[in-house]
Amino acid sequence: MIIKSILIFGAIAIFAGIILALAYLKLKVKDNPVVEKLVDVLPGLNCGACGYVSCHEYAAAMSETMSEERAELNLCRPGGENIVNQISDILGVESEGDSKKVKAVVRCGVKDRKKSAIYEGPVDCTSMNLIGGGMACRYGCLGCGDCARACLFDAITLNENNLPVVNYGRCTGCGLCVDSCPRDIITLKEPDNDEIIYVACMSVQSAKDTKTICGDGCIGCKICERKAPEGMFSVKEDLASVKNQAGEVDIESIKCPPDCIDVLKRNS
Amino acid sequence: MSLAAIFLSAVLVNNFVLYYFLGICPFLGVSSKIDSALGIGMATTFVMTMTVFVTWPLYYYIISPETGFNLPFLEYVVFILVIASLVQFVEMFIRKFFSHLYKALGIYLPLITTNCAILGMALFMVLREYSYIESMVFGFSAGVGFTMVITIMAGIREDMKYAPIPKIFKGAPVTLITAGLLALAFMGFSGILSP
Repeated sequence: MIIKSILIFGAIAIFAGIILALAYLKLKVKDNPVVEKLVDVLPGLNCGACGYVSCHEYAAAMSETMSEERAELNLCRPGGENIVNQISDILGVESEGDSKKVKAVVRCGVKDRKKSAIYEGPVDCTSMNLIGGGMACRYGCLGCGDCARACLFDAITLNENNLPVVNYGRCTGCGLCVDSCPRDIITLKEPDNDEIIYVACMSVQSAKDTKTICGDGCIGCKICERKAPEGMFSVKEDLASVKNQAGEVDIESIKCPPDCIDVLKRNS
Repeated sequence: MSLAAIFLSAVLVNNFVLYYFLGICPFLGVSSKIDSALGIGMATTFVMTMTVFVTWPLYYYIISPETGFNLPFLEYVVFILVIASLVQFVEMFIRKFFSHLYKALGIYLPLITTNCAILGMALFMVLREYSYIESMVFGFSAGVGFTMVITIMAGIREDMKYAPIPKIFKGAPVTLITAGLLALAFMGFSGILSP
C-alpha cells in the first residue's frame, strides 16, 4: 500500500515535472540582463527603504529605459555611496550623488519608568500603546523592543533600562524601526562629522508635569539655547530640539539639568 | 442533472465566492481594477477547467476505491500537485504572451495555487460523482461564476473611490461590507437549483 502510493504519486509528480520543464523551454522569458546585474550589486536585504518591495523590484525600476519612468539611483540606504557608483557604472548613467545618509536616533532617555497602571498582555509596544501603555509619560519609550525586533541589521539593542540604543556603524537608516515605534520616538537624522546631536525627549507637556513624571525629560529651561551658538537649539512647548548642529559646541559644557542632550556617534 | 442546470447552479445559485465563500483572497485582493479582475478571473477559469481535465481521469483511474487502485488518501495531495503544476504553467504562459497582465496580477497569480476555490471545485466534483463531461462544465462554470463576481466587485470598488465613505470604513472594512451585501443579493437565487 505504502510502496504503491509512493510509486504512483512519484510517477504523477515526475510526469508533471517533465511537462513543466518542457513548457519552460518553450515559454521561458529572458530576464533583462541589466536587472540581474543590478540585483547582484544591491545588498539583497529587501528592507524597503527605497520604497520598493524588494531589491529585485528596485532593480527593475532603475532599468526602465524611459528616463522619466526610471527610479532614482541613490535610493538604496543600506548600500551607500559604493553601491550607487556601481549602479551608475552598470547603467551608464551619471549618479546623482551619495544616497542621503541618515541614522536613527531614539528621542527618549528615560531611566526609571513611572507606571500609571499595571499592564498585563502581549509584551510588545504596539499592543501596549493601544491601551495607553500603562506608563505615566504619554510620549516616552515603552521599552518592549519592537524597534530592536524590526531592525534587520541588529543595530538596535535594549540597554539595562530597556531603552533602545542605536549602533551608529550598523544603522543603515532604512527606517524600519521608525515605522515600528507606536510612539514615534525614533527619528532619522543626518549626521554631521559622524555625529548626531539630539534631544532625548519628546514630551511636550508642561515643565512641571514632565518633571513629576520623569526625571530625565526635557523641561524647556532654555539653558541650551543660551549656552550653545545662536540657532542651534530651539525650545517650543517646553521641549528643546536641535535645529542646526553645525555650530561648535561642547555638549558637556551646556550642563543640561535633566541631562537629555545626547550624541550618537561612531563607536559609541 | 442537465448540463445547463450544472452551469446555472455553479454560476449563479451556488456561486463559489458568494455561496461557499471560497477564493476570498483574490476576490478581495485583485478586485480593485476591472482589467486585472477580468485577467485573474480568466486565469482562474482556465486553471479550473484544466484541473478538471486532469484530475477527473486521475481520480477515477488511479485514486478511486472502486475503479482505481484504492488510494483515497492521496486525493488531496494529488489534486494540489496538479493545481500547482497547472498554475506554474499558466504563469509561464501569461508571462510570455501577456506581460502587462503578468505585472498587474503580481503575487496573486502564483497564489491561484492556494486558491481554495480550485481545490474545492475538484473535491466537489468527486463528491457529487459528476461524469467527465459534467465535470468539465462544472469546472468551467465555477470559473465563469468566479470571474463574474470578481468583475462585479471590481466595478463597485472602482465607483466606490468617488463615494463619501466615512474615514474609519475606508479600505478593507467597506470592501468586506460590500462583499457581504453582494452575497446577500445572491442569496435571492438560493433554493432555485440544488447544488
